[in-house]
Amino acid sequence: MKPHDLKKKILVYGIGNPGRGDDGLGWEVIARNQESALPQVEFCHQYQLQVEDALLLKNYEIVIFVDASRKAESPFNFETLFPEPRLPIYTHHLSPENLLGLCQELYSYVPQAHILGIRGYEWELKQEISPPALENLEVAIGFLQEILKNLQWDPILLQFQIGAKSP
Amino acid sequence: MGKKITIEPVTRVEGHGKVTIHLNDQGKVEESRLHIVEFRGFERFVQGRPYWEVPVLVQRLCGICPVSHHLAAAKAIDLIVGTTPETIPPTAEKMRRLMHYGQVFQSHALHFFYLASPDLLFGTDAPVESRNIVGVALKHRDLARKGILMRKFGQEIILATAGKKIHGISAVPGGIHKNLPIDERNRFLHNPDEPELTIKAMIDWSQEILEFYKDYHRKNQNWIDSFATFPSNFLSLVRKDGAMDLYHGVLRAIDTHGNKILPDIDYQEYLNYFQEEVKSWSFMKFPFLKSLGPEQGWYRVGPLARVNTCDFIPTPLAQKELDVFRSYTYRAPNGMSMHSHHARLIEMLHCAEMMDRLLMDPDLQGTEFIKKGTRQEEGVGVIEAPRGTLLHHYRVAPDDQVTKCNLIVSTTHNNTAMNRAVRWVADHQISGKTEITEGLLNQVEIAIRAYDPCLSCATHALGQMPLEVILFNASGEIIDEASRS
Repeated sequence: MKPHDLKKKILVYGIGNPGRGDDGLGWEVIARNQESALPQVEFCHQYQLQVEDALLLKNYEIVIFVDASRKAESPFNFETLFPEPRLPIYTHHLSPENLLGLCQELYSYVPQAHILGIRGYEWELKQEISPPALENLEVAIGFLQEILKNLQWDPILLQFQIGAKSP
Repeated sequence: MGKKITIEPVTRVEGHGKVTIHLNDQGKVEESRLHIVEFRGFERFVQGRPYWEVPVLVQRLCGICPVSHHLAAAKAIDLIVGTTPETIPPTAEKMRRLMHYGQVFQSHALHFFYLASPDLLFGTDAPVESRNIVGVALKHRDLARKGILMRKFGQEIILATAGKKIHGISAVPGGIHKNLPIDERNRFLHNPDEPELTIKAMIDWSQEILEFYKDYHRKNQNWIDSFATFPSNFLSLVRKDGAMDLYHGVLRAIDTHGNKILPDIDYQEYLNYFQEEVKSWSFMKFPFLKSLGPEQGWYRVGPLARVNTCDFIPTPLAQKELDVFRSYTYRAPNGMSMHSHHARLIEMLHCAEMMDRLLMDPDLQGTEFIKKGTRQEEGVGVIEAPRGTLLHHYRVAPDDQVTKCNLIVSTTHNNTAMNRAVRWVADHQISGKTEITEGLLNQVEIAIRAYDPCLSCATHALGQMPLEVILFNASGEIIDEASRS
């Protein structure tokens, strides 16, 4: 089911803490792209996902979360996300999958969702991104921009086709 | 052989803490403690910073209640620059008040819907996986939806007044750096993009949630009235005429019978009346009233304290609810810990009414933002944060650097009370039992959560801890342990 009253189709949502080194990768992606003025794309960033983000998600057809990752293969992983029926113990640590599950329960709707996990290396209290993470960032930004330019709506599958290939 | 039961950390409480309960060989509780194990030392590293950074810097104490720290620090620094809460321009005072009521409103919504309601709705024996807001959403969709929208509304107020939802920047020494343009104001009266997000809806829903809670109380009266109930003193700000005032006032404390034990003092003089005790097993201090000593001088702060200490609430719908609340105890101070939830909802309604009043005040569009006077060396700022009385105290050198910082946050004021609540549960629910169930352990957490503690603030701490449960014997040896991540 599609949400009604859509104003924008695509949300790019950066998550993380720019005060903790490479955890700021998500925000940096948003900062570098939000002036790009791509049609029907909105950008936002937040320290961590909160339950009220379910309100935000219901307004979009596709959501791309961008976050730093300790485990992704360099330079990044790009994965499709699905609603997670298993409930979190800590409401403070809502995952994108939990958020999709909440959106589904509250609004009977789930946007198509993906996560761009950029490999990071340093997580201490500082505001700089490490040099190897910066290299990954550049590659990830190129990939994201290619996705956003080449998204194709598939009327049969009722979803966006991701045109870009991840490394 | 005695057993020590550890709950670490306390879930659904901002920050992390550890509870230990020590049973003797007969299974009776010998001792229980709420250990606060995180330390960051904010008070120390604020020293040396220029004073004008303080209202922005101290917000990094906490991502949950940054506005409270922002405003308490601003009020303290106002005195440094030679102005007072009474002399700052009306636009500044009212913008700060609107920010504060928005903060308290969304914080109370966060606590009730996300932290307390899973316990209230699912009971103490529900599986841990369902005891959170996602679980609430699954079973009580309308309640969960409204809770999320109420929190969003409060955050939008904060965004409009503070400049950012988290770590706002608008309160400055001597005033504010922005007003609320009329088109932004109008969005809170009528929002075409999100028609449900209006102040009138917030008032209506606050009343609806109160009715939900009162109905819940009627059906669960015994455990709500008896759970973790104990007598205590209470402390809060009140307006000079005795009205509830969450932003500014004088400090009042009453005893369990309603007698004043701290008679409406100017909080600039707090050091004459308060002292803090330090214990070896916790980084969080134990404040008390000097006149009564540490054993008798501890007190509770927060919503339950505020509805007990004030003479009246200066908004009509909340006052009506206060009358109902007080009639239950025949107007005597209410010491039932679980009634904190009821008090919190009354305050949520009061905040909604205050926001409604302020949004119609033309001073919000005023253009005088800052006032300064003769520079001072020292200033204290006190505010009623969502969780209770919050105090910031700074001393500044002639070169503008902070030389002293003392913070007493709400959760610290409640330290003894939370320990008493844990002990109550331990004595009544765990002593003598042959089996320790998860429901019993959760009751310890319910008792703590009634105080809505923010342990990040209380130790000025940050960081993540894995969940560990450690079982010790009476000799301090680990006999069992488990972890959650």
